[in-house]
Amino acid sequence: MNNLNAITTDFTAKQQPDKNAWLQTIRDAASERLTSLQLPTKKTEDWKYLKLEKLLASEPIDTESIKDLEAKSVNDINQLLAQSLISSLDAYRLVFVNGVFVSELSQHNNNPYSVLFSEASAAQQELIVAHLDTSHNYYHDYFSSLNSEQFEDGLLIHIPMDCHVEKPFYIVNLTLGEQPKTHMMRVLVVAETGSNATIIEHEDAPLKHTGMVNTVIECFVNDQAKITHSRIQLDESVTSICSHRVQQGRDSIYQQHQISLGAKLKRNDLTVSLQGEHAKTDIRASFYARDQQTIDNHTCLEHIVPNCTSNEVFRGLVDNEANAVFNGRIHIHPDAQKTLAELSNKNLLLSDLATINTKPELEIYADDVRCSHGATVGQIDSEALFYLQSRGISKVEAKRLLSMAFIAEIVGQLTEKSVQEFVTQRLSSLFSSLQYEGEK
Amino acid sequence: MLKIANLRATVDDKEILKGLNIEVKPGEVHAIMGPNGSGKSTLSNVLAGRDNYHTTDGTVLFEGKDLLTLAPEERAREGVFLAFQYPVEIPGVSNLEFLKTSLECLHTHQNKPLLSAVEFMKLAREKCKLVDLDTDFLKRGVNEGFSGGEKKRNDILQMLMLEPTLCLLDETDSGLDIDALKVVADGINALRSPDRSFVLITHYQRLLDYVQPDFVHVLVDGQIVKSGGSELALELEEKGYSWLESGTEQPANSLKA
Repeated sequence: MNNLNAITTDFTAKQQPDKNAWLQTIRDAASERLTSLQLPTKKTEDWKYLKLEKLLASEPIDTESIKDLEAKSVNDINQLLAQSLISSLDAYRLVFVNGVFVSELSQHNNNPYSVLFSEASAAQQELIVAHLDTSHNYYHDYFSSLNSEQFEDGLLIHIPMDCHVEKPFYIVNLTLGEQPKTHMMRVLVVAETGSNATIIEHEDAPLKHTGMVNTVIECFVNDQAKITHSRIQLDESVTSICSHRVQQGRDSIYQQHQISLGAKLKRNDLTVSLQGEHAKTDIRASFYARDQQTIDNHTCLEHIVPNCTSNEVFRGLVDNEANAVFNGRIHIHPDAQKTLAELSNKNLLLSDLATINTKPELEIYADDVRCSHGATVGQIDSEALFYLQSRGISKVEAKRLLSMAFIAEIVGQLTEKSVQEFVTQRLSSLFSSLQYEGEK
Repeated sequence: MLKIANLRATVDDKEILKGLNIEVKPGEVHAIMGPNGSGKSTLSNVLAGRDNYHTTDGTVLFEGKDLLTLAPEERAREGVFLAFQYPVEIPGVSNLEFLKTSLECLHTHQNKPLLSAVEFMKLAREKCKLVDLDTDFLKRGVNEGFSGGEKKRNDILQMLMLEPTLCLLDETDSGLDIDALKVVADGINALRSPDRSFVLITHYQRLLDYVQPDFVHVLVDGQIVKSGGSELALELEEKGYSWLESGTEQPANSLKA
């Protein structure tokens, strides 16, 4: 129990006094919710595959590397950080280090669309207050309530009506140095009617420093708007809990492409609420967990109104003794007739000790819908392996190629070519350093 | 080049090859023919090193080296190539990436300089033309969505790229229309040279109309029961295999020490 207290104190450590007093009502509401919420346990259905207490315990700090870092000048540090970014990407680049915006690393000239909460105009403040914590299902979530109570600052991306933003928004969150407390990332996207934008989110830990991040992303895609959202989570050393909530209006399109690496704990919750007819949702995600990592993916598609379409594909690659979870729920509300919903989760276990728990769920309360869901768990195809070997490719290399192949389809969906190349390179260097089971 | 002596092999504890002998010298083309179930595919799988095929007796020497102790990839690097009866589809691995990785593995092993990206592409395009495959195939997943004929031609493309010393073709001709068969035969003929040998495993005479073998062997019930020149293939086409099967009644398996 002491352990639990220590964890919660760590995770809930009070932040700096608040500059953004106008957010007080939101924080108060979150504090109020938190009085009745608790850290989830194994008895909490949505968290049952995890030993959360253990996973949230602080990790040893790489003091050597942090000392090195502290001896460096700000310039050197910035240079080092710049190397971990996708530099060739032509985008509005917004870089955060440990949840704090770093202007020197960002490129956001002539970007009228995004603003930090702390710099928001009165009108923007109003917009933020009107949207924050209003999306579906936010209220029972412990970690996002913590975020709402304690986030220091946040990022607003506001796309005006009928505005097509050509350049993508490239949001980077880097974890670096000693992390005495969990940092809270908060992003709010409001895409007004008929607007169109691309968001690329990149989470990384360039020096493999440990830390904890609690992220909440809310995305409002209004009528006829389109948001394309790529997420690359490459911060293997960071314990991360992310709640991502999307709300869609009539004829809107929301596409998400996600590549995630495991960590000591990586938890991703995605809720999409289809609230306008003929809205379309497309989710393509892939995760890779190795060693003793844990990755836990929960998705929920709330089909509330008729005639919406959702398609969700998750591909998991689990190696060594890693533990992965996929829980995908499709919830068709009574009015949501003529819904088309598909969900597929395919997993490849690369080791005898790897674990995957997959649970696709359909909950249907309408009688005229077409839904399908499926999950598979398999191993590398021995015929394919032999074919590659028979052409002189070693077993390890063949497994690397086949592992890459398994998630290549998802990588290929990432919106920008430079992002695809960046991810491919990271994944292949990760795979090539692996010793597959039974290989020396 | 290749010397197989008294080779015995089992699949799932069932003996399929029962003392097989063949010797292939450099530059020679051998055809191995035989009825269904005679052990043709087992032979090619044993030579390529597939799991589940266990040799219980005999030796296979390739250029003096014991082939059976080598892993499949090592055999390939030494210069043995198997064109598959059923090439597999590998979605997500592009043909290009596959060929490049494969060629690099072989060249590294053989202490040859690696090709630059430009040289490699030039070579790949050139060989594609030879087997009548559009270069677009290079960008697609290995055999992904290819027709039967395209898969076989893709195997021949790999053979042309890798330039092995010993080429084993396991029923590469089966399921091919006459045009594809010609392409495959042209690929083989393009590679024929005094220091490269071929073993063509086939049901039919068809392929041998285009690739003239030096020797034809008839495999029945795990043994070579008859060997001859290319005229033997014609005789088989005419008479079938039954006259050979009846003449080689085997005694019950002798107990081994």
